[in-house]
Amino acid sequence: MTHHAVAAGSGDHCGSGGGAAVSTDLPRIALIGSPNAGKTTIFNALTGLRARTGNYPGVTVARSVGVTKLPATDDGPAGRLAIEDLPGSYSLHPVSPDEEVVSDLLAGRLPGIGRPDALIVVTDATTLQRSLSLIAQALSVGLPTALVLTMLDEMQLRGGTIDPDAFSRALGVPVVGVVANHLGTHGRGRGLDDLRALCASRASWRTVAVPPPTESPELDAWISSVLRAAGYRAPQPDARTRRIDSVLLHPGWGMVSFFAVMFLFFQVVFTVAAPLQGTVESFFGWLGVLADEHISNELLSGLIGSGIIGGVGAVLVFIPQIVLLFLVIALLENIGYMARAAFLMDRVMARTGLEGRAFVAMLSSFACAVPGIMATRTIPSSRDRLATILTAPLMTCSARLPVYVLLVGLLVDPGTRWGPIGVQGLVMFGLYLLGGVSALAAAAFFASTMLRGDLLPFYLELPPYRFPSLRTAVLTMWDSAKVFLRKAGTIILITSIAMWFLLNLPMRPEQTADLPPAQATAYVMEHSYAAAVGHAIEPIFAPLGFDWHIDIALIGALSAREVFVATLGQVAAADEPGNPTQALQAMTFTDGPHVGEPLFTAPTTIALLVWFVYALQCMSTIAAMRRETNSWRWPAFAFAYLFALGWVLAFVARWLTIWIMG
Amino acid sequence: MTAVAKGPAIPVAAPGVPSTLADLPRGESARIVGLSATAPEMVCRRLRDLGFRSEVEIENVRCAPLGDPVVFRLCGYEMCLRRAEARHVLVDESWAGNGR
Repeated sequence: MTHHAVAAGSGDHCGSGGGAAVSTDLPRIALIGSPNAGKTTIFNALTGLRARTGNYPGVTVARSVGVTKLPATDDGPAGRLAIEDLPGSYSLHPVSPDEEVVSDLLAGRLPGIGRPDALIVVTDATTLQRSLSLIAQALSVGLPTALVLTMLDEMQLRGGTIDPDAFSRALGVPVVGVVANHLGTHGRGRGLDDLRALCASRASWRTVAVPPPTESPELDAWISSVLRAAGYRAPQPDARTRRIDSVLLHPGWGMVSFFAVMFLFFQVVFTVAAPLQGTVESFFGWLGVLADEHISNELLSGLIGSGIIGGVGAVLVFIPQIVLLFLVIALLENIGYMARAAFLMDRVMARTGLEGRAFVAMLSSFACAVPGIMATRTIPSSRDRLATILTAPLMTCSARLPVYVLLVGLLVDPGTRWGPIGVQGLVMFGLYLLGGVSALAAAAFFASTMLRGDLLPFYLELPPYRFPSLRTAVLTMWDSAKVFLRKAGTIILITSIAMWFLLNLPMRPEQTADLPPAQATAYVMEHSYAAAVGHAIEPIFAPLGFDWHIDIALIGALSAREVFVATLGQVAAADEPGNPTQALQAMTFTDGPHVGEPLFTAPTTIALLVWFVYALQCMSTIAAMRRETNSWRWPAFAFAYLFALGWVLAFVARWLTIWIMG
Repeated sequence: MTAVAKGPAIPVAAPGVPSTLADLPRGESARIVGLSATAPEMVCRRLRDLGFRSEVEIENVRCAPLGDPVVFRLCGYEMCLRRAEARHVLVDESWAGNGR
């Protein structure tokens, strides 16, 4: 299987409805069209299935297939039809992985996925003149084809004209006009009935006898003649968009508003989420107490209380923040600001050898590196794409937050202030900055040294600003929450349970028979399987000041960074595994040359923070890299270079701190 | 419509002599006359698929605050290119439809 086919079924951060598991015996219609043409909206309206829609060109990156029910018509009885939503593409001569999926699918080159039975070309009426090139290529594919014209209302408002019937005659295939933004899933939208009727009459669609020319200058002549025949008049520029852009893209105000948007972005994510986080936290605290009180078997209550509730709860606390991050990113995308941000940042990104779209991928990586890596599918240049994929894990993703919050809490007293600024917040900001700067520097390094350049043009469409739909926003939030819950329910749950067993086995009943419970737990842990593993790798991390307790937490965090917090909590045998700060502050070296000395000194804590800025401790990211690059080579390389970078810089940070502190 | 570029007089190209899209001043329109023969074929193909075809009217809408890329308006939509790519597009600034 190719990586595209794999990506189709996995759906983990892609946000689509996981509809790829549709039985293949239904007749299947593929939707193609340029980015922003309204394809995904048409798809949602037809199938009722959810797939993310966005205004940033190329947001539909995963395969989504849904089923639509058809009314009975003259051509046949009522029936069912599979609809496949393909990634937006400007042309069937692909330059990006996204577009390659489209041309491969239409040519029947994707293993395991047959050619579709028919084709619907979704075209934004306001960009018709440009889209006719894609239409000409689609008509040459040799499948029965129909055309859907979207944004007809916007076309009219902006003074453009098009006669769909005349257009249909000129092309030789059926044409239906819809008002895409008004299409609801319940069939109330204008044009949806026409759309269903169009699908129902599929049998009468034709493959055009003489396909249009696809090369200049014959194609240029064909485009002009079709436009003339269809009574096409180009729309005026969208006045609202011009007005907004004259501020948001203004030489001075543009940058000011860009930084304002970025500031608001983080402000919303951190301040709005805080009270919600408190609620989730107290809920899991309550659950933990409940488990402790009602489960009499000590072993079982330990497993459920600290292993499961503590481990998963420590992670779920961050759900409000993650959902908000995804929501804000989705809103920026849907409104059309993401494309503008890419435009504004292109010059800065060019300094690193990349392009504006890489900035959008990096911004998404603040939520999670996985959607960031998936967003690189819209980057045509394979060099830029790889450089972005390799460095996206350096952006401070939400999984690092629990770790940072814990470690910064150990390092700096919450009350410490420099003037009006809290020092804790300042350290957090520094960590975000360090991640971002490192990502750009690493990308510049890769783009200029090991990766081969290619001669692909940079181009970026600036779509008109459009109102985001509440529906889309809510669905996006739910999708992201779902992904995160799945992660908490699988990887993190399994790792938490596994870590609990490793830390509590073997049970050694004889040795602990005479000890009070707290000491017994400590004894078991000191002699557990996990301790053996921790001791085995202790020499690797000893120069950074980590002891075997920290090492074992790092091993747990290999699956997901958040596990670090819960594992440390278990290791410290704290009463409250979700909030182990106090227990950790009291921890000391239990053996070796430093026995009795405090473990979490400032140099060690700083080394740990630096380690987490760099180290690639995330199975989901490694899996996404594997899928997107179709090889183990790049994830292995990323893991190795980030491990090395993390170790060396943590070492430097530790000794710098020791030197500064005297 | 935003104002035409302010400042000193806009250099006027000799009639019929093609210049490149990268030289088109902000706020000005021109007619595309072709793509540079030196541009790689893949770049040309993509530019044509994006609407950069002969006889198409094109306007320089604005450039980014940091100088690059530039937003062009053509075929009823807005697309930005870096100056490096815009250099591949040959335009005639002195056509009849100009000077609105």
